[in-house]
Amino acid sequence: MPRMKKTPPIAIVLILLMIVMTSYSFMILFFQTTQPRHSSVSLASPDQVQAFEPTSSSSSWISPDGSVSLKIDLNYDSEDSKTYTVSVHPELKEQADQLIFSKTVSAEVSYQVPYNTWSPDNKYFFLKEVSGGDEQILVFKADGEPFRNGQSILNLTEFFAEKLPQFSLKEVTGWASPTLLIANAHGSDEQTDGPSFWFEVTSTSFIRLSGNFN
Amino acid sequence: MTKILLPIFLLSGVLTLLYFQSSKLPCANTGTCANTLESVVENDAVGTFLGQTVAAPHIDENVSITPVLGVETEEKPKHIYVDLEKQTLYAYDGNELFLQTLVSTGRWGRTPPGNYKIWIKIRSTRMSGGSGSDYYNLPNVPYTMFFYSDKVPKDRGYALHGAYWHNNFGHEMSHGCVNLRIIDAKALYEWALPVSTASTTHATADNPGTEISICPRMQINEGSTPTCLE
Repeated sequence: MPRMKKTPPIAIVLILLMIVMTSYSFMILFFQTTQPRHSSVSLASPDQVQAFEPTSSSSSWISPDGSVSLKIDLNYDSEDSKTYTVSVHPELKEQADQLIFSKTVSAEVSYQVPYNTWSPDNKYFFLKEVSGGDEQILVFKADGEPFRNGQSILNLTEFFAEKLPQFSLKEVTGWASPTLLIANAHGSDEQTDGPSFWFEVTSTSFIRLSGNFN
Repeated sequence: MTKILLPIFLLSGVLTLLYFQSSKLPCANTGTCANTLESVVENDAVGTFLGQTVAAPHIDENVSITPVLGVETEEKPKHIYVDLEKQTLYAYDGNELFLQTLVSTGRWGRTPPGNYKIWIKIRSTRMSGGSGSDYYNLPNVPYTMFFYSDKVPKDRGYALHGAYWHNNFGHEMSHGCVNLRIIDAKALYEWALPVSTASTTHATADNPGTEISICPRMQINEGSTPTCLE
């Protein structure tokens, strides 16, 4: 019987090492294919749905002379509703803010403040109420008091539709004087510019202008 | 012969007069032009604009003007730009924007494009002009900075100034001047040269006026000054 050559110990070690490494690799591969991949977003059980966190924000618009500012506080009460609180803050006097209104609206409604919101004498301001694709121009008295007709808000858009049904309101750009808002109408084809009007706040009347303010 | 020549001479004279009148740039404020070169404060006065009565703002002449950032340097020259198309004013210290705000330029009288220099700053003045439905007479016009060029002389009365009678900035509303909100006019007045030394300050060689470019359109360049476009 021929004598077998003795395998050196180092070779045995290397072979064993190779077997171990190969087995380990197979094990890793096996577990990777059978275990679900970890997702960056874990599936939450119904009990773990993130609760709505109410948020709030505050913005202000200073008057052209710097003496007062319009403050709007917005509080998200839930995902479906929010509350706007509008007040007038005196910048130059130690006085309390004048609350104008506080209103809870659905999530799709918002109040926007035009650049020229303040009347030149700071007695009035106007806001844009936007709901879906609909816009309403609302005029307020800065002292929070009602207008002469008893209303606390003048809806210029409604007045325009009522008194000038042959036109559609395009935009309100600002104040021509302390009581006159400039309202521009669409042309008859809704593409071109129509006539311009003044909306006189104290009388709620429209004055058609000979010139165009577009 | 006289019967022929006399009408010809008369007609020539009338035509010459009409030519020079039409080629002369009208005053920005046709009633006052740049007549009053001293600060005039008329507290409790009322003004007229578009047929409406407007209360003039109270001006305290004892409140001193605080110059902003001192005198310009060669590295940071001050310059004011007015974009007529966008009704926007930009004030620069070198390449750094100091102020950007909406303005109202000429509606009943054109604000002439061009390059100008401020020649006088007046804390408060009266301006009047227009006619008929656009007649105006306005006391206590605040923070007035008259400007001029070789094409638009000083006596035409074009100026940057605060406006308390309307709030329709971003739209043309003036008779040629550049109207600003009072808070913006104050900021600009305190920043622009000449450095105010009193309620009326004339530009001099040692205290020159800030340059103004009034452009039909402008291109805003990030990190550098705007470019005027035709």
